[in-house]
Amino acid sequence: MEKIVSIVGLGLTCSIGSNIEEIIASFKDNKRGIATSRHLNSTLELPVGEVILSDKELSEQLNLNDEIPRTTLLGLKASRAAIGDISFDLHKYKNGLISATTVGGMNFTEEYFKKYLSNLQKGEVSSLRYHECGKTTQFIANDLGINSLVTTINTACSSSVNSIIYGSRLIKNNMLDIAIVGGTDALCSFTLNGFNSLRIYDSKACKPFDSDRAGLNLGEGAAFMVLASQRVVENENLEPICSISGYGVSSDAYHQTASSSEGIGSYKSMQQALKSAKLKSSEIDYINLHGTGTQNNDLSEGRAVSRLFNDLPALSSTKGFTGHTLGASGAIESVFSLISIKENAFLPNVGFIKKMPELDILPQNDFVIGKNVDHVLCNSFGFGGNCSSIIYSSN
Amino acid sequence: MAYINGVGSISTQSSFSNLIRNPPKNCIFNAIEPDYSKWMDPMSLRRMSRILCMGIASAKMALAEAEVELPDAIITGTGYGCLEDTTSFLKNIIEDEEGMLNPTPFIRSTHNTIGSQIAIILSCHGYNLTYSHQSFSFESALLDTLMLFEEGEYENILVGGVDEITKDSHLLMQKYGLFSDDLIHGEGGFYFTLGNSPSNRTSAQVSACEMFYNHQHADLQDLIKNFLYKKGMQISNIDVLLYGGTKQASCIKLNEFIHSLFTNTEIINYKDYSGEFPTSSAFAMVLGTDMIRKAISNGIEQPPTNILIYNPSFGNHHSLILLKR
Repeated sequence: MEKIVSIVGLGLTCSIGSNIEEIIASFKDNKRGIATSRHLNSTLELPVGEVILSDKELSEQLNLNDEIPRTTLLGLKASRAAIGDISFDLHKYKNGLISATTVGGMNFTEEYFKKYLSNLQKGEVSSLRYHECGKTTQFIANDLGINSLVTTINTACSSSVNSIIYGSRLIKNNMLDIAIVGGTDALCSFTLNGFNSLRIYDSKACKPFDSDRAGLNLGEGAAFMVLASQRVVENENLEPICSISGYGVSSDAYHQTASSSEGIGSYKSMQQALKSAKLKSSEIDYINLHGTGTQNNDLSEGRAVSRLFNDLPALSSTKGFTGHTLGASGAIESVFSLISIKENAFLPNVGFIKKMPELDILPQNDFVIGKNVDHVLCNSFGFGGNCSSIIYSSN
Repeated sequence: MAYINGVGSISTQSSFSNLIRNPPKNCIFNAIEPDYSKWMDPMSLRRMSRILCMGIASAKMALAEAEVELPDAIITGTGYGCLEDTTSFLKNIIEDEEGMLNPTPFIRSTHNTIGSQIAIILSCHGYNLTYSHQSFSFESALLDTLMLFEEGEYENILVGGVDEITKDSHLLMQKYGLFSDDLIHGEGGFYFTLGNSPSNRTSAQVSACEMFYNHQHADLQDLIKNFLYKKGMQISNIDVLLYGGTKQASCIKLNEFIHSLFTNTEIINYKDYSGEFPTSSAFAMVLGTDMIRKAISNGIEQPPTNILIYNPSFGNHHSLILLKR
């Protein structure tokens, strides 16, 4: 196995916590962060994985005077935490920010449209300036003082794993020394109604990989990591958290919203990740599944995993805790994968009771410490068939 | 470095040899759309939104020209994404008061729909990414492509930029005061089949691509010089500058600065012909490729060898693309 880049800092926020200790406590107690929304302006009473703080509370915490969209607030909280996690000045090095989001400033756009549709003159049109995906990233770049490479990826649910992979490659190809990578997405009426209209939204707390699973719950949050080249690690005498050792990006090329029944894209992305890490499937200690809780994803992903792994390692989906955080899910679950490595623990698949009849997959029930976890595979599969997998390894 | 082996475009121009500058009224410059039935079957045509048609058709044009059936990767840039369907679904939610909604516009609203639909049509399981970051969207896709070729595993990559104007998007941007006689709203779909090696279809090469966020004027000269220096070139080697500056008041100083820097270069303000939209640099790349190709095929004595595309969008997103013969 060969290390591609080192992870030297991280920060996140989601419904089960905004720091590692809070998150581990939730895992230990199998305590979900799923409930009806307190902050969302929607009449749909669907369970969601909502960050506890309101927009006003987030703004105050971040010392912001102007109102900005929730996706940006969450992104700022997580990215500042990631930068706060490092002890050196990243501006000494060629740095860049690669973020990801699917909804961008949509919660402002929704509010504007409500007024605009009743009367074309109503509403504050300037609020639309936050709509685009890139605007969220721009805000974070300005906040962190990033002055060169800045970009945003939107490949639906696989967005932020792709931003982590892209950042790694920019470092590997000597275009950057430091990459701040991750993603952010806030709950909004658009996605809540969207997934509900597809009839894949569970009206109760979701049960990933369970025989009786009835769909997903949406969540929100943000996570960012600071990736560093070997040069920076040596220069600054850093002790990296973990390293990225492999990744795979593939396309299912089957249907806009459903995965192929054999999980072609998922299989290929996992296979590529193993190949790029020069690891055998037997060397993976734990898989953090995409596991949304939908009939389609869990079966396809389950089939792909069963085909690739002769002996299944420990595996679980953590979406029963956080909900599906869409564009942020890859980054948030990557941080969970790092927790697995640092704590030598398998993460639980809360909500699972009964095995799927089609497959022989029994996900982890509890947070179990004491297992040797050197290599973790993290899956992220999106609408449109954008499938990505990444392997994190201990140092 | 990559070879431009195929180009597909749906743009404001019916011919890149005979560029037309005067848009219709209301600061809007719509793309001239082809007969899509040439590129898509009737069922797809019925199901696909306008932006998907623009993307799919221009992708197929690029592949046909390069004589490539299946690219190894598909990488797309789109700044605004699929606006028509996004607006549609938003309106439905509000008007139906969150009742049981038709999911179709929601399904088609995600930014990666364009790239994904191309993959589905081609049955392409390769690397597939979508970038959405204002005027860095196409450049991000292009940089990713160049990196993939450097990494050595790919032969042909389909890379493109697509952005649409909708009735609502134009109305709202106008309300916000974005467009004027000095800044016209444009749109288009542009795809390129780039190859790792030249073929008898090769028109030109993409030599380099870089993005600089939030740089001051004072830095620009050095940034441009360093960008060219890394490719063994200087400003005086640039035959044509395809420049994305506009006539807006905020751009005047920069325009003067650029003219003072590129004294021996033909400067074309490409946004006079493309209009302004996030992936306008893809239009410029089609224009640049066409200039090189036409000059060679017309036997012009000194065809342009080095073409630089510089897009200083809204003063804080600066991107450079270097094309070579």
